[in-house]
Amino acid sequence: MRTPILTVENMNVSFELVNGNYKALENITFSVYPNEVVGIVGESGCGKSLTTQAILGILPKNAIVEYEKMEYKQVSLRELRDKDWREIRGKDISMIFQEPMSALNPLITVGKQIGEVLKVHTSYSKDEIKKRTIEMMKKVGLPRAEELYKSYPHQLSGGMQQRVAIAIALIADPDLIIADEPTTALDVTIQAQILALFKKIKNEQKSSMIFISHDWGVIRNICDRVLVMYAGHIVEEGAVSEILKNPKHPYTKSLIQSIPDHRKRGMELFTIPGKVPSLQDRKIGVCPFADRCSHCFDACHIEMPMTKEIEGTHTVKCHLYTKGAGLTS
Amino acid sequence: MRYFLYKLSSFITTIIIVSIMIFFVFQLLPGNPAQIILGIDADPHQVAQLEKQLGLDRSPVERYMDWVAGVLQGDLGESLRYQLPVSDIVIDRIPVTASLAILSLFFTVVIGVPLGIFIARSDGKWISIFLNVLTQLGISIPSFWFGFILILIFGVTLQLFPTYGYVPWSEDFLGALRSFFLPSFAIAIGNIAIVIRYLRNTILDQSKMDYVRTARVKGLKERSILYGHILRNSLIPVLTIMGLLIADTLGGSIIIENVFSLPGLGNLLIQSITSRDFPLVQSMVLYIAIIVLLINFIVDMLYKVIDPRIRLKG
Amino acid sequence: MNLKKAKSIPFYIGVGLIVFLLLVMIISIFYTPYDPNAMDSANRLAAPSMEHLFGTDNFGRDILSRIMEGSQTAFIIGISSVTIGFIFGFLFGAIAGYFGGWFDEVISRFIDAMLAFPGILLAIMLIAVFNTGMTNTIIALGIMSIPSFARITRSSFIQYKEYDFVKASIAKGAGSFRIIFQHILPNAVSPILVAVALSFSGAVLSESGLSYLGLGVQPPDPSWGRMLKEAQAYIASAPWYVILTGLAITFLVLGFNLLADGLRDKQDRKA
Repeated sequence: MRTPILTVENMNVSFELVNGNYKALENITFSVYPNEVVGIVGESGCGKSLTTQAILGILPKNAIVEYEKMEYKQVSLRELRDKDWREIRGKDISMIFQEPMSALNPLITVGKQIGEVLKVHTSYSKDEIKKRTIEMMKKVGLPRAEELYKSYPHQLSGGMQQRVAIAIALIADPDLIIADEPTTALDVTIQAQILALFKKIKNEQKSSMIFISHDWGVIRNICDRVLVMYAGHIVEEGAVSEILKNPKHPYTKSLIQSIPDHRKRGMELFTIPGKVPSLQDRKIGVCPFADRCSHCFDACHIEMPMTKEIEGTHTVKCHLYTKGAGLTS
Repeated sequence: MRYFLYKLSSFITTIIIVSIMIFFVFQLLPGNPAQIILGIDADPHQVAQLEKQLGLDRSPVERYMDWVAGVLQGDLGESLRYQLPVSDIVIDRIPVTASLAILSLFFTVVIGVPLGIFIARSDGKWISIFLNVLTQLGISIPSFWFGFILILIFGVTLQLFPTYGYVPWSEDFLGALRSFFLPSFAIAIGNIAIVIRYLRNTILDQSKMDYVRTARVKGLKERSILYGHILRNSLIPVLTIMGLLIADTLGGSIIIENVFSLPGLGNLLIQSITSRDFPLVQSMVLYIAIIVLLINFIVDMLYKVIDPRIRLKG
Repeated sequence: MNLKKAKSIPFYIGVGLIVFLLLVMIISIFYTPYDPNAMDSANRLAAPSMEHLFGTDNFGRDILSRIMEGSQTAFIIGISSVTIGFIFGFLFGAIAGYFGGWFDEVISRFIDAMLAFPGILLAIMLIAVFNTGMTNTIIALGIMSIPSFARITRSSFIQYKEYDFVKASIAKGAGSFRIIFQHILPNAVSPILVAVALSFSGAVLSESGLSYLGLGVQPPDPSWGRMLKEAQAYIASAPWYVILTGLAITFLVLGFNLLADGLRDKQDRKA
């Protein structure tokens, strides 16, 4: 068995709001292995971004993060002091966000924003930083990099801005890149270009990646393994091909059913009734999907299902597959 | 460029409206200026002659046009009391008021900005509530009373600064600085509090922006995030209230000059009201209003130059 | 107590100051320790003592009694000028915001023009023409506070006119008055309340400045600002005269500023 570069065990995140504390993530457990791209999929509000932000320790102050184990390359992140944390951020683990425009500082030239990572984490000279920045800008497909170096974010198109954000994430050659829906805010044609860039990064770079998306097409294209999240829980996990072929959790099934497909042209697109419950409306200790599930039975409203291994790395959290339920669909 | 023309045209329109307002407010004056100058017992013949000399026998519209035409040529009319062109009298007074305003703005920025940053960093702690009340106190204190307190502490008790009058800069630089120190600080107190509060709010707003998250993910120290990223974005909005602060400073100096007996525009204005020298008052009010409008116009333009988002779009 | 709740402390301090000074004002109508105008040449510029808690002034008059009496003027000036500013400001702002077009253009230009007068210059100009005294001071300060009311009303009207529930009732054919009173006004109340508090503190502050310059309230009407003008000459020999009188102004102004800030906070939290 390979050793994972990131391990998270039983992470819980709750928010301290004016009228009480609310659990946003429960028992999040997963690992990321070297050179692997792990996808996280689910509707908005399921806790995909929250999971990665909790790992990086960049949640707002009213968030309470607890876990049994969180290790990066066998080093527990719990004992890290602020200073060591900063060493890891940007250099070992980097992140790309959904909105490229707001993720960049409007008053600083893009070249400086990319080079800043090297300024913080290396002892390179100014010229060396600039050289490497321009190289990186070329690598992520920014045209006329020397000219663009001095421009401000608002002068760039959305796609170019996202390339800048990607350059920021890649320049220190991190071992783990977290991409939080990096194509969602872009036009469709630009989405395809950025996706192609990510595939190139996957093939050329030796780093692992966590790729958040709500789009199965994107997940299928990029990821090796996928975590399906619903209302703060990982409900199913496994190799992308396996999950797409043989989804077990009713939520995963409905998600896959609702993928638009040219073979289903003319048919009404499948949608899941209802919506993800908001933080305040969540029930604790029962299956979070029970209210929207068409296969739901008594047990679903009584307790939270255990994680059940289907085969190999494919696991699911659903009463349909726990011992004694005796039901198949 | 379109923005510039738009601002320029509204600047000019506002000046015209301000001048009309001022002129017609002064038309409401009871009594006859000529009579006032010559006294109640004056010879009616003489009064009529002076009226003609002052142009009082013509219609208000004609006189307004005359006044504006004069102002445009730098001629603000003639003071009744001094029997001198208003512009000559005003020019002598400008250095005093300008010195006060510049020094006061200096205090506002040099004290207000660091304290604003400090208070923003204390947000979420108990002390922030105390500091909130303290800045409100700074806004609430009457500047002239604060001037008295400064006189009491630094002038009377410690004897560090003179409490009235001034020395011109050309004679004694340090002496001039000392004489402007207390009055400038008295004017600045409210503006310092305003800058602190405003900067604190913009820093807290900016701290929630996504680019701050990016900076944090890059592994920057909180200090570098604040000074390298947040502060730049927070100071630009502060520039937008600069025009307001300058106006406040000029308004404040009207009173403070009288507290410290400084021969500036404010001092002249109050003297001329007391001696009922209305042509002087009328022209001075217009003059001060134009300065304020002009500064606002310049600040607007400056803002566009400093913010690259607008600078490069235009 | 947690920090979130503690954030309202300044608001309650503000309310406390206002209520306290309001009580002082009401009491002063019926009772002051001494006759505010009774001179006592044997007791000139006496330091604070048990007989004269705040000391006496240059005529031997009791400073506490004079400050108490001065609170009446402060409240009268505040209330009257805010009322004038509110009535006209609201009217102009509502017309500009509701009807838009040329009305808006003309009114907005006039508001801009009025805002070109820094600090109390507008009031000074009006008083130069109308002459000094209580009534003219109220009129001048009332006019001075018109722009802020007009601006706030205008923007509330413009903002709410765009809301769907207002558009819906316009579409249903509701009359202007109905729309204004049923839909727009209830929503504009809280920003206007903030403006009321701010204008009140502004008026008190400006009146003290004007009266200090000798352009505001004239004898026999009592005024804190004019007391400071008299006190200035005795700043070294009777510092309590200056300090205590100024504190009265500061506390009243601070009370309304804290009130305004607290109201604005509550309004932001609701939004």
